[in-house]
Amino acid sequence: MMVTQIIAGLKNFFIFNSTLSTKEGEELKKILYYYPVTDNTDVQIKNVGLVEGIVQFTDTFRPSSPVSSLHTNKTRHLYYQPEKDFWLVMTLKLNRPTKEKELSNESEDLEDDIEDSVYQALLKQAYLMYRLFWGTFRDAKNTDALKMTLELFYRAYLQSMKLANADILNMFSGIQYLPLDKDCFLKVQTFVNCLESTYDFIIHTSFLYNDYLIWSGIEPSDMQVVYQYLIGTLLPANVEAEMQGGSIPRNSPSPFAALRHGRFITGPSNLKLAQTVGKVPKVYLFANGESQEFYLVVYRALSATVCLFIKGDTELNLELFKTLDDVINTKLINIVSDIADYCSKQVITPNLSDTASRYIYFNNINLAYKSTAHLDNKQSGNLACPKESVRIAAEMKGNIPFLGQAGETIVKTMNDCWVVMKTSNHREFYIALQQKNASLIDISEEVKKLCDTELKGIFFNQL
Amino acid sequence: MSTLEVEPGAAPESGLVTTDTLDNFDEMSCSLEEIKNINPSIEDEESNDNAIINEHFDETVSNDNEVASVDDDFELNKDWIGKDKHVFVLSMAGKPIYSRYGNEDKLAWLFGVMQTLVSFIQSSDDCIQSIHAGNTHFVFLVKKPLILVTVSKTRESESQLRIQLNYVFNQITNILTLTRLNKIYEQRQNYDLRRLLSGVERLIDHLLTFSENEPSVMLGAVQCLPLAASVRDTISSAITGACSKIKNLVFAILLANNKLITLVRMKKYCLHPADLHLIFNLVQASESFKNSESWTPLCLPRFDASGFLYGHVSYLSEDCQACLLLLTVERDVFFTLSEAKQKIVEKLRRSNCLEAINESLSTPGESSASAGFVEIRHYLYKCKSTSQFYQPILSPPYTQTKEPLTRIYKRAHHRLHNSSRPLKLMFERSADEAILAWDTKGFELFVVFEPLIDTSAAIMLVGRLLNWIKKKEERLFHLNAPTF
Repeated sequence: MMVTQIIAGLKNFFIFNSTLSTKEGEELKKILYYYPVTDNTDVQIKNVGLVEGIVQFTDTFRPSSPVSSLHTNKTRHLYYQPEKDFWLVMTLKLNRPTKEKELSNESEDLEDDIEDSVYQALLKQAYLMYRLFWGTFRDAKNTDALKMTLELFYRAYLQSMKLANADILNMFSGIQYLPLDKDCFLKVQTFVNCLESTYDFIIHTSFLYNDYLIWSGIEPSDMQVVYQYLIGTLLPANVEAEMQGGSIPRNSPSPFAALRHGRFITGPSNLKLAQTVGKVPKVYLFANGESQEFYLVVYRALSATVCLFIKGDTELNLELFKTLDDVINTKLINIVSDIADYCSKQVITPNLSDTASRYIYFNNINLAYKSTAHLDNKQSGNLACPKESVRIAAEMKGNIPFLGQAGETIVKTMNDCWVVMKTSNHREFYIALQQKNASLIDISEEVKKLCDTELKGIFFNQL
Repeated sequence: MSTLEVEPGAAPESGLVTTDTLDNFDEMSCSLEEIKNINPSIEDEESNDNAIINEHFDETVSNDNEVASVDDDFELNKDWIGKDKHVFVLSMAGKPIYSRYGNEDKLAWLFGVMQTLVSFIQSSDDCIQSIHAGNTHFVFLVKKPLILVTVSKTRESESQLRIQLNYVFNQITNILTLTRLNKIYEQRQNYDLRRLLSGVERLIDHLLTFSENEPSVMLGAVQCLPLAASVRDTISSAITGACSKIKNLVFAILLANNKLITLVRMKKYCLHPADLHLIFNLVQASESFKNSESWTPLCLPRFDASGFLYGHVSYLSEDCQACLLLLTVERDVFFTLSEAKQKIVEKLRRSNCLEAINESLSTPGESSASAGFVEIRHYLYKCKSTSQFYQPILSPPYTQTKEPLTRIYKRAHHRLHNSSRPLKLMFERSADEAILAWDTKGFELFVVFEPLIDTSAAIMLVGRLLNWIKKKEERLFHLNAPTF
């Protein structure tokens, strides 16, 4: 797998630090990572030089924050400086309609009206994900070690970026929570407390049901990165394995047989056969102001996933995993069936008609989001409303700072779609409506109704 | 929303070119050739222009080695860095031409950086558009043979900033003509254009302030001085009467206080609002016109960027501060036009039109509240077919400073005309106000309400407002498009 595939829409992606070399002729030393390898060193040095020039030029005018993007006719450059002197750069190819368009119909280019902030979020995510597994750039042992880990990480990570389907959800980088009744929630909490107080090496615990978070002991800003990793990478890979008859026999004679099959998905996956503890990833959390190191042990049974953040200096051995398995398995099975019972009672058949209104909700405090505009959370680009509406939502998000404490925006597009945004109390609510002949008054009525049914108990200033 | 059959201000014919917002600025017509071909009495002027340029070429190029140390500049110019909007003009070779603030020569290094950025991107067969850093936007307009750059903290959108740069470019061609500008750089890439533009800096400074503050530039339209239709018609016919026999007169424009009183034109030819804005700017920025009749060559880039029109410019009289411009393709008809002007003034005086103009100039105009719309703070109405707009006078809370209002309008206008995703309608409510922006086939409307208004009340008010404007349209708009 050493051959790097071409990534649709991505022209280049590189990381550099100008302070690593100040001598002329040694510019290459500044570059810590560069994609694609097909760009020769001259091109690489020139591209880094351009960024350095732009950073200097823009700094002359003392902007409120460092340079974040450069627009040209054919490309979009995004810049992000997560740590002093370290710059991440991503260049996207745009498909700007030109007269020669027929000649070079490059379908892999991105559309030319993309939102900076969406791709800025993508670039930031690329850094945070690296930091989760390897710590900060600055804390790397030395430059060579840093180059090696960057190469290792980004070669795979870039392939998984879904540039064309990036949208407002990337800006949120939010978490989906599962609302539960008091009983169920208390059971989850008791379970977590019991684990943490029994084993002092378990510092934090997070509890998920399917793609929904129920409990997290770590700060939201850390959880959002861990959540992206779980939902985007770790869990899909395992669900696939389960589907193919991995740990759960496909045609098990009784549904209860499956219940016995909770297992570790990081660490030893089959405790009976395992000789070693297997691969347990280390992660770094930062919410407390300094970097803290943990082992991330993930246990999965039925649809529940338990993440244990284990003190980084703990000695992991098979014995420990076996005890954990015993304790977790039995308790977890009961809780999960309770949650499943509760959820099955709550299922509301979604209104699938084309004209129904779709909404996206986001809470800036706990980073919770919910979307009925997206048909899945895999960034597949499957939408239940026009793509245009979701893009307008991203644009509206950019305007929120101008509205003050609270506000609303209602727009009608050229295709007679309506998009509404309401914000108040750090919550954002976006609604896409497809009622072609509606008037502004009809739309405000409709939105009022929707707020009453969907946002019960959430305080929205009516202004 | 409304029961109007024809939008207010619409007329079968317009003296102004119909504008859609953000229209293509590269489009330029060549009307001069046509006119000259019909009346071939005009001598060729090319040879003269060349003489002027060659004369300048003999001077030695100085200042090349004067590269100020960057650190020194920062120490000197904290004030300079803090400016809301910088505008720079340079040649493709990186020669400084104009800087809104500071001395171009001291900023030579900065011009060099900008030129390098442009040519770097050009080397990969691409073109730089803009750079974004927090609250600061850097917008580039590469328009051969010039490079124009703005560095703005004003929250205006990229396209609005680009329009302003286009206006600056047009102001330069207004003085030189595009043909001559191109010829200069064809002959010598390293030419220092400032030699030909002394005194123009002031016009550009003024134009920038004008384009930042006046909704006319954003809307691509002009506002008319409110006058009874009969008065406006009398004025137009006075001009037509005095000028109909003069050959090759293309436009007669009467304006006062940044508002149009009338525009009389040669058959078949229309004036683009962007050109008219340059004329407004010229008149507003030049105190000297007030003292005496003047004769000035000017190029209207949207009308014809290749050559000059010649303008007789004068104020009507001591007791009426309206400015009359008579634009012709003839180079030496000052006295003919001066005579015509005298006739016009006499007629206007006899028919009491001067008084009518003075009266309109001295009445402050109506606020939306005094017209009966208490919940409406302010609005802009543009009739698309005639490129004219109307706005009431400012009322609280915008009387102290107009800036927040300008900002609201610019943001709404940008959202409505966003080139990639234009909208038909937008209603936005913030803690401070609510705004309705509406784009239809015939008109564009921006209404700022009290923040607590609900949508049904807003819609009702808009309907009433349109009816009110319709009733007043004869007074508020120039509905005829008279010709000589």
